[in-house]
Amino acid sequence: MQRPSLLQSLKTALQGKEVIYQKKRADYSVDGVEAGVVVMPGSVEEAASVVEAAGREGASVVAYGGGTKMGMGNRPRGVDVVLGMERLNRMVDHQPGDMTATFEAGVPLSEANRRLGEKGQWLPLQSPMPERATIGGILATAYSGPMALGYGLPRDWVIGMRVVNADGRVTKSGGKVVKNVTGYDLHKLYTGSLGTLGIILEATSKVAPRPQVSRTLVARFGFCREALEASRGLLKDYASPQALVVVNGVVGNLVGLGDGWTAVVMVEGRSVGVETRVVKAREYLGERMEEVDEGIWQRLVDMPWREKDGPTVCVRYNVTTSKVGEAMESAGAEDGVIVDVGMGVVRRLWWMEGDISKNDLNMVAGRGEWVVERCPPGLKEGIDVWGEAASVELMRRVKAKLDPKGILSPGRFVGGI
Amino acid sequence: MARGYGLVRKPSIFKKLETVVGKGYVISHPDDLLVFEYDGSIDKAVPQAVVFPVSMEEVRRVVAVAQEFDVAVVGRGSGTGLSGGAIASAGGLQVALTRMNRILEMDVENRLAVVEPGVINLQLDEAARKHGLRYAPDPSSQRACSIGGNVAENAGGPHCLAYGVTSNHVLGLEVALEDGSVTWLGGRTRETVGYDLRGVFVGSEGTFGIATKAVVRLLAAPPSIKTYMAVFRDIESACEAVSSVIGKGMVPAAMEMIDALTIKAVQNLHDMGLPKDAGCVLLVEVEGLREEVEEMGGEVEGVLRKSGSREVRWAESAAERERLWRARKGALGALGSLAPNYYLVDGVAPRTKLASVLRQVSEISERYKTPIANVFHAGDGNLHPCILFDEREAGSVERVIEVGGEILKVCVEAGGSLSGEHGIGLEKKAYMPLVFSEEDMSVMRLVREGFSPSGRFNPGKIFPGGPMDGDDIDVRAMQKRAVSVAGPGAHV
Repeated sequence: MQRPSLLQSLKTALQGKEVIYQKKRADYSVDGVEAGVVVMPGSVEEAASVVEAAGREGASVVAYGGGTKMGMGNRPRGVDVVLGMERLNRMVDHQPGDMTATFEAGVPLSEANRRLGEKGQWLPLQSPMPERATIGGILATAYSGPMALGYGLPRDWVIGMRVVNADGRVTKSGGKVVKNVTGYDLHKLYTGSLGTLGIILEATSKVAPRPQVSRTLVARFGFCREALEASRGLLKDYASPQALVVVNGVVGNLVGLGDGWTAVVMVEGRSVGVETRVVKAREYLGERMEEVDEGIWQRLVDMPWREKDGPTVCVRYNVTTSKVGEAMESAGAEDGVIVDVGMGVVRRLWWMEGDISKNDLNMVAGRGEWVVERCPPGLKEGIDVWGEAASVELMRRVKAKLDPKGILSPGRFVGGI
Repeated sequence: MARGYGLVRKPSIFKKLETVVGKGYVISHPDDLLVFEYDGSIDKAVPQAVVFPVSMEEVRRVVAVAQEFDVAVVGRGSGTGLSGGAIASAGGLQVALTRMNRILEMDVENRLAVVEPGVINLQLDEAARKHGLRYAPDPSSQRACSIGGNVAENAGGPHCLAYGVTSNHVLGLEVALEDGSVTWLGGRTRETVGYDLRGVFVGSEGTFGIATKAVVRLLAAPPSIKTYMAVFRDIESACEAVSSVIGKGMVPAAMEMIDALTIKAVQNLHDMGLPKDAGCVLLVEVEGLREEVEEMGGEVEGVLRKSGSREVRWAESAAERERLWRARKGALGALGSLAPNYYLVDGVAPRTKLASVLRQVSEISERYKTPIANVFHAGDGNLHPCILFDEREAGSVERVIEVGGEILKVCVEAGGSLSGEHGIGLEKKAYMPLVFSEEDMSVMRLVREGFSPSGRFNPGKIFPGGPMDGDDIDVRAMQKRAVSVAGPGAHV
C-alpha cells in the first residue's frame, strides 16, 4: 500500500536524493506482502533518516539484505517501507593483527570473505547463497551452517554493532576489541531478532586465520541409526571434525551424494592435525569413507532454500545431540532429512504437491523446539512459524521498550512480535 | 525522578524473609553485615540485610518480598568481581548465593552441565575433567569465583583467547525476575528460538535479575598441552612477539604477560621459576592433539626467539606447568610484597596497540611518580596495570584514582574499552561516556527496563548518574574508599 504523506516525508528526509524506488515494490515483497516503497540508503545517516521519517508516520519498516532468507518469520503485518541494504556495502575496517573486521550490513558473505582472504583470514560463517546473503541478514536471522560445530554461531563472532533503532537514532553496542564487558551486549540481542528491535547497519566481528588444510569425507550407511551412532561416537573424541551432518537419500540424491544415509565430515586445520582427524573419522565411520569435493557443503546449506527443486516446507528442530534420533523418528520415506548431529539441529524437508493444510504442518512440527524456516506464505496465516518459545512475555516487554510503536518488521517474530 | 531503594525501614521485612529462607539465613546485625561490604577489595558499602536462599524457589520468594517492600536487590556470588558489582551501594537486600552450590547434572553425552549459581568455577572444571571434559572460561580467581558471578560479569580468563568468554559457554539460564516470576532464557541447545535474552543477560552485572541455574557448555579436554615461558628484555619486544605469533595465523590457548615489577613481587614470596633479571616474561600455552602441539609449539618457539626472546623454555612436567600458572594467577596477591596497597585497572586495547598503550602507561607511571605493575592477558589485549601505593601517604589515594582514569583514557583512545572481564560496576561508571553516547546508553537502559521495570536489581551500577541509577552515590568517594582498602588478596 502506498501512502502519499509517507512518500513526501521520506523525500524530505532524504533531501531529494534518488534512493527511493517505487517501481521495485513487487521485487521486494515479503511473504507476498508488497512493499509500499523501497528505499536504498547509501549511508548510516540516510538509513536513520528513513526510519525516523517512517516512525513519525507510524509506517512499518522491514530491512532487506540479499533477500535470501526473507521467507523466515511470520507474515509481516505491514511492509510500508523496505529498507534495502545493497548500497551499504563497504568494508569499514579490517585489522588483521587484531583479528577484527567491520562491515556494513549489505556486504555479502562471500565478498567479506574474499576481502578478508587477502590477508589469510575469514569469517567462518555459512549461509545459503553466500554471494547474495549479507552480513546483516546472516546476523539478523542468526543463520548458521554445519561449520558452527567447529567455529561457533554468528553470536559468537560479533563483538560490536551499529544499529538504527525504531526512533531513528543510530546507536552502538560493544566495540572493536575481542574482549569487552563495557555496557550490555545489545549486539547479542539484535543478532537473530529479525530486524524487530533495531536494524543492523554495521557489524564488527572477530575473524580467524584460514585453516591450512580442509578435507571433506563421506561415509554411507544402510540405516539411519548406524549413521547417527557412528557420528555421535566420533563427536565424543577430541579429534572430532569441524562439521558433521547426516543426510538421507532424498537429500543425498539432490546434492549428488546418492541413496542411503550419508555422513558428511569436514576436517580443517594444520595438516598434521587433519591427518590424525581423518584417521579418527575412519575409526568411527568405517573403511567405506571416501573423500569428496568441499563444494558439497554449500550444496547442503543451500538445499532447504533452493528455488528450483527445493522443498515446499523446511522445519528446523533444536534438540540436544542425544535426541537427534527422536527428532526424526516420524520422518517418512519421502521426506528430506539433514541432521547436524553435534549442533543438535535437525532439518526436515517436504516436497508437497498442491495445497498443504495446517494439519500437515502441525503433524510435522510439534515435538520440542522447532521453527518453520520455509513454507508457502499462505500457510503462515494462523500459525506461528516459531513454534513455542520460552519467555515470550519477557521478549514482548523488551520489544515494547525498544519499539513501542511496533514499526520494525511488525508481526514477523516469535509470538507475533 | 530520583529514587532511593535503600532503606529497609519496616522490621516486618526481616520476619517475612525468615519465613522464606529460615531463621539464621537472614543477617541484619551491623557487625555481621560488615563481612559483605566489599567485593574482592574494590568498593565498600554495607547492605542492610543479607539473605542466603538455598533454592530457586527461595530466591524467587525473596525477590517477591523485595518487590512488596520496594527495596533494592543485589545478587552476590563469591565477591571477587573487583569493580563493585556485588556491592549494595544503594542499601537494600544482598542475596548471597553461596548455599546454592550444587552441580545438578553432568550430561557427558551432550557435553553440558547444569549448575547452581554458587558453584565455584574450578570445582565445575574439576568435575568436568573427570569425564575428559572441561569448562573453558578460567578467571584467575577461579579457585574462589562462582559461576553466577562469572555470568553476571561475563568473566574472562587466560584461556578465553582461544575459547571465548563466559557468554560463549552459557546455553541457558533460569532467572528470577523482580515480580517474583522465574523464566528460562535459552536452554540446553546451542540454537534457540526467540531473542537471545541469555546473551544480553550475561554481563548485565546483576541489573536484570538473579540467575538461579545455568546450563553451561563443556568442551573436550585437550590430550596435549605445552606451556612455554619466554624471557624478554622489555615489555615492548614481548608485545611484538605476541603480534608476530598471531600474524603467523596461530592462536595459542593463552598468552599471558608478566612484567619485571610483577616478577620481582612473585619471586619475593616464593621461587616460582621466573627469572629475576628479566624485563618481561611471556607465558604461551599451546593445546591440542599431540602432533599439533609439537608442530605449532615448535613454530611458536621459533617466532618467540626471532622476536628477541633471550630464552625460551617449556614446562617439562605437569608440576612445572602448574608452578608457572600459579606464578601468573597468584601474581596479584604477590604485589603485597612491594607495596601495602594496589589498585587494579582492567582496560582493553587492540592487540596491535598494546606496545604503544603500555609505553603510555609507563609514562603515566613516571609522571605521577607511582609504580605500576603489569600482569595481563596479552593475547586479547586485556591489560591489568596495578598501581602500587601506600594509602598512609597523604594524597596518594587521589593520585591513584587519577592515574587509573588516565590509563583508561589511553585504552579508549587506542580504540579499546573500559573493561575486559571485571565489569563496570561502581568503579568505572563515571567513565562510560568515554565509550558510549547518552543515546547508546539510553537504549541499554530501555532493555534493562524490559527486564526490570523498577530497576531494583543492583541499582546505581554501570550507568553514570540519573534516576534509578543511585544518583546519591558519589563515584569518586566510592573509588577513594575502594582504593584505600585494596589489598593483596584480590585476583585477576
